[in-house]
Amino acid sequence: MLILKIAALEPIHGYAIVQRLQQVSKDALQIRQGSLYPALYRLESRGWLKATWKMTEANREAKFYSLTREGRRQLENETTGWKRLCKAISLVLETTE
Amino acid sequence: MRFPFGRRNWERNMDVELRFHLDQQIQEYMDQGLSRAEAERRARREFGDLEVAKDECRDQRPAEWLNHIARDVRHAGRSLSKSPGFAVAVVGTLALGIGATTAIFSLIYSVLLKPLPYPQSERIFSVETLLPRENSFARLPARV
Repeated sequence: MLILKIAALEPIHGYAIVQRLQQVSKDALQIRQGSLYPALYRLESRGWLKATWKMTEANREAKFYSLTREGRRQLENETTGWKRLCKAISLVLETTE
Repeated sequence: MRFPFGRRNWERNMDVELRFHLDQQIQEYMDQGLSRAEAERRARREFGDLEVAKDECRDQRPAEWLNHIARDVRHAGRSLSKSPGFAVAVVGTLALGIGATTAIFSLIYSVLLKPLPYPQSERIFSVETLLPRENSFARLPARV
């Protein structure tokens, strides 16, 4: 879900996904780099991400991932599910009796 | 330009992609003032096992289960050809077993299971009459 969210912002390569996630979550979340790529490949083969090879600013070839329409729908579903779960959990935690 | 098809291209693309990642990380550490060797060591350590990651990536390919089956079949073939005696014994056992089962089944089928070659053969009965005689019965078979 987080990877999809990050890739939804703009086409992005694997290394930048790690950086971006760390930065956005203020270092609270860190992807294990070794499991990032299998995850990306899985999302790609499910049709939620599509990949294109592009040049980076430093003129190197890199694989950029971006969200497909199906991926966007998946992201919305997962986000709704996650929010519902969070709300439910905090309801339980904030019970006073 | 990269080509999406073919196993070798796929492998090369994955290598390039992972290499790019490591290089970026190394560059980042060198910008922080580490030596090239130190930066490389640290990047690799943080990445974890590269080969494991590659394997996991390969497993995500859509038709990967086909490759797994093909690999298993090749492996089976290799192991069998390595011990031909065993292979012959196995094939012999299977052949005998299947042959015997088939033979017995065809026998049973033709004797017991196959419907008789008459119309409405399920309505053929065997009728017998029992005549009490001293201590024994005489059977008079009759067919309807």
